[in-house]
Amino acid sequence: MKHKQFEEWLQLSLYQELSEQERVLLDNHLTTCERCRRDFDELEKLHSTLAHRRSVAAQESLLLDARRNLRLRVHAKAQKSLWGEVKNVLDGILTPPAQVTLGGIAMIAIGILVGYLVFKAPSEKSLAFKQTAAMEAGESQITNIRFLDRDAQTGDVEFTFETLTPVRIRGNVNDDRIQKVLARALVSDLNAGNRLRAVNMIGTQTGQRQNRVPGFDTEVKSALVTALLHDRNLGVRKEALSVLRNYLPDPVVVRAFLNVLANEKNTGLKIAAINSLDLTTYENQPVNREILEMFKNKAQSDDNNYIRIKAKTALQEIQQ
Amino acid sequence: MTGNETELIMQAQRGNMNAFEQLVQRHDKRVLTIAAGYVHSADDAKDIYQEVFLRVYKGLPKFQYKSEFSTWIYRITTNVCLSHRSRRNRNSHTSLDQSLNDEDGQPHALKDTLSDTAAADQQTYDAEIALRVEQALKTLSPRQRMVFTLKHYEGYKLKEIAEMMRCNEGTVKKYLFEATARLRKQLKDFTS
Repeated sequence: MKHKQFEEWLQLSLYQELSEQERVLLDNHLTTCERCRRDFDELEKLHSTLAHRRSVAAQESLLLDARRNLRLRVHAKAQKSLWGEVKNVLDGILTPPAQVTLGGIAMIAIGILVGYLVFKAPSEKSLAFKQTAAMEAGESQITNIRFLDRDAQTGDVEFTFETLTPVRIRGNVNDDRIQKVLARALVSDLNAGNRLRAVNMIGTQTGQRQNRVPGFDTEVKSALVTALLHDRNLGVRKEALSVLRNYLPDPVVVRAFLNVLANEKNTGLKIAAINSLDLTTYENQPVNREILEMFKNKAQSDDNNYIRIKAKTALQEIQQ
Repeated sequence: MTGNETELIMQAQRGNMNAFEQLVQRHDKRVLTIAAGYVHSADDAKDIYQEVFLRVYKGLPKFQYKSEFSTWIYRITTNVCLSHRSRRNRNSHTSLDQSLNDEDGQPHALKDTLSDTAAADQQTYDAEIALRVEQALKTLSPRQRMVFTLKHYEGYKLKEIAEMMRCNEGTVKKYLFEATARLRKQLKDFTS
């Protein structure tokens, strides 16, 4: 065998890229070749020199910053592309003369519509009376009222307003429709107290979740995961984690918990996440590798003592 | 690719932004690590990250499951890295060393951590080696540097690197050996 081959194998052996047979051949060669032994020593020194380069993997702040920027840029692109698509469709369908004609028609239509709105005052009454009826019945709240006109002599007035109509639902907390409303409130209500109440209510249904429709379950689960990872309120995140524990060992939930371990700033929540993951449960599941990777990472580098020890202990337990 | 990931990809292809974000969060740490390992600059790494995921976003509707989704993303990452031009001329260049902050967001400057002379000497020596290593890596060609950082610092298998860079293992080995030879030469003071 050529000497050059062994020189290459020396490098590959340091990266564990040799087969067993190649390793044996190389070991035998090293016992007899002084030059290769020297080369091997030099390569080992090179590796320890290269280890002085600063590691860049653990910079969470950099990652979070990059994610924020990406979110903004993707949303901007999404909006832009929607308009672009409309334009492309029109460009594809219409020839330039047809586009001019269509533009003209559109302008005329807008003119007619404006004229209609300006001169149609009497017909608005019916709509206004409908709204008033709803208001009198106590079904709606009036908001954003804008006064347009008032005739002191005749007493006629004109104004616009928006109505918020409350919907009252009574039903079982295990009902799909109830759960859907709660899930949507959890991700969209601006009031943190309401979101907290929504997640609490969702939590009371999990006892019967085994019998639920899978598609529906996914929607609620997805809302809970979104709340756990993105809600600004710590209480909501904690409660979401607590409810999501009932879904374990679902891989989506496991990954959400791993995400908490990697990115959450609150130590209490991270501890709750690591305490919820029992390594023995996932041994034969695809998500096992991701969990082990995270636990190894946490065992070595987490800032919190408890998390490091917990991760280390869990890893030792499964090795036994 | 897990069933769950396929489902997320399909949802993202239909325009579901939440699914897209979940996909990003599954792979972006590695993308950023690869980029940062290659350019060793926080600003440049962030630029690469943005470019990679904007390309992913744009290309997602055409993704046809011919390769693993992760392989596709890392392939885009290596392409973007290789064609990336550093923002060296910028006024406010932030190096990774500068951006190393404590958990509370306070920067921990090297000089603040020097407690005694011996430690200071050691740290100065380490910093000197780190600088020399960085300079040596910069003498490599883009492909040599890409292969070397992926193999040596990120620990990818030769086969994985070959998939990412769309070449065969032999070519990857060639770049690796060339890079190692050049680095040995550049860092001779520390290795002989």
